[in-house]
Amino acid sequence: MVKVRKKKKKPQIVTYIILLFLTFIFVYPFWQTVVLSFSDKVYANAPGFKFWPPEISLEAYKKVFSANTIFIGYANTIFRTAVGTLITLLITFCAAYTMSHRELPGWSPINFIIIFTMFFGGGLIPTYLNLKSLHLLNTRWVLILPGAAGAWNFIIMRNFLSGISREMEDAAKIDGAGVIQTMTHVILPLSKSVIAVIGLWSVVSHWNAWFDSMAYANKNNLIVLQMVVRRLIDQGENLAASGDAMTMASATPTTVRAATVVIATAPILMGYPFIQKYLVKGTMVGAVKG
Amino acid sequence: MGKTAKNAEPPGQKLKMIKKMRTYYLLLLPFLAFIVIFKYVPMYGITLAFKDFRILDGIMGSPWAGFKYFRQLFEAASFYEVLRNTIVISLKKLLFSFPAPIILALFINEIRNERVKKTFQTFSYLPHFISWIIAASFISDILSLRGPINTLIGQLGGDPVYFMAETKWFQPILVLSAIWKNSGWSSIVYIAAITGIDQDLYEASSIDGAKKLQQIWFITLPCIRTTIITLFILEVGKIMSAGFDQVYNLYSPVVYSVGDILDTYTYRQGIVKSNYSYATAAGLFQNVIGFILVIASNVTVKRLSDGEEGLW
Repeated sequence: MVKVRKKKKKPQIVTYIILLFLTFIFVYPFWQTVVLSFSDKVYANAPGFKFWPPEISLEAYKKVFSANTIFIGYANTIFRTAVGTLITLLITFCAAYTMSHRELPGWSPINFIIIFTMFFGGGLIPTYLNLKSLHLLNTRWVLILPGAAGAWNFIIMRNFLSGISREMEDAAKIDGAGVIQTMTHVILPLSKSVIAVIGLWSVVSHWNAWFDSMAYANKNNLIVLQMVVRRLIDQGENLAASGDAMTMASATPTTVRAATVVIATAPILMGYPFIQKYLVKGTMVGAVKG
Repeated sequence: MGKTAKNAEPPGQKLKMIKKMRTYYLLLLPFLAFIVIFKYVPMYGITLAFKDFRILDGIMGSPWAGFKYFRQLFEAASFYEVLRNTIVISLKKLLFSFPAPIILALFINEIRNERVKKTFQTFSYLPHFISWIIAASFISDILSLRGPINTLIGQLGGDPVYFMAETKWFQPILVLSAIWKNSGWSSIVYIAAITGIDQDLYEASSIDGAKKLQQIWFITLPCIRTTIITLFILEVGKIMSAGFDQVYNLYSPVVYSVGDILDTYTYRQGIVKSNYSYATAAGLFQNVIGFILVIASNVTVKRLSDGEEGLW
């Protein structure tokens, strides 16, 4: 390449000022919550920005861990995340493998049946009553089964598998491998990246899910982490709305809510830098061709 | 591929083929069963919108009620308020939140130091990985009476604002928090599009003496036009859903007049108040319009891109 003339590179002062400003906006809400969680009540109620507590206080964490709720929430969230992701991967991979064979009789109608669910659904109440008649309400399976099969994951997986050379598969079959053997021994090892992408998406969405927990499994022993946080927020708002000084004093302090948020969010945010590249790749795959 | 002859295929052959491929169908079965049980059975439940629901009789046994619930719906003043809120909030987001990731992508593209760039992108993605519950907790801390924003207002001599409880602030908060949460992650697609632009265009233009902003206006933006238009049209298709998770976690009865949207309305009518038929009717109205819009937007995208893009 011919560099015509090394352009005098101006130092990017303006760029870096904007950069700092935007970084602050993206990061400060997270940071403030961490600071609040380590603060005592006095600093937490002081006005203004909070960059560092004058004294590190573990009171809020002690209070959170003294109640059972957080442990129940953790157990339920981990359960739904692990089991839900496994089931999603298993059924999606098998279905996508089958549907990567376009010569399959009935391919088009089956494909249509799956894709159509992306555009139209029964809506909230029919879904709710369906889960009720299946006796899934107030069980932990209601957090896992209804969302296990998704058209979007299916499309991404199917497109990836369709891209794998058919010769590998044919060679395996000539060697006498059956359909399932071919799938597990030839296709599966080649699909690690797409499995990672969909698996991680599933983990993140299970970890952050709350609506199903609130609407379909609203029992204390089934509560998920997100709902533990939401209940604290609700309590705070109700008490603030009541405006009663007595109850205000006994309200869940900001610090306890902040500590709960930190505990609930830390696993995802700490793992996230390592998995970021897979997730970005997944977005691109999805964006390029659905 | 395609070993089977497409036409003139004797029926016996096809049956043989199906038999030969039965293991494949078996592998497909669990996924299809999930789809049917959890996606298609509820579609049958839509009939509820035309029935008087009686719990003991179930959906099938409940008597037909015709368009009674749709009449109720279209006669309710609250419904029009909710419909208006849904559309207004969606349009505001289209106008203000949609351009944000484009601008962010243009900005990120200007950062020369690769490591700074990568780190900044990582920060900008962070809000995408938390739920709206956590985001709502952040927002209420930032906007509370003793929070940083009100402190700044106080230092500038203003009166504190109770942001979360004022109708005039609710929609701006929705728009701004949507920008905060989504623009980093949404910028990925635009950055990829910008990376694909031929660098010679920039070199040539800088020889001609083009300034940075001129380059952005005359080269970058025209080159990523297809991406922008595609995403815009797809976004228009989603106008009927203004963001349940976000609104539900940020609103309260004091701001229902500007914040209650179709999704939250249906939820409260159905799950909270158990007006099953009425809520199903509201949901069906939303789903049908939404369906038409999504299909229309996809067809448009497909037509514009000669069948290259679109969701199917």
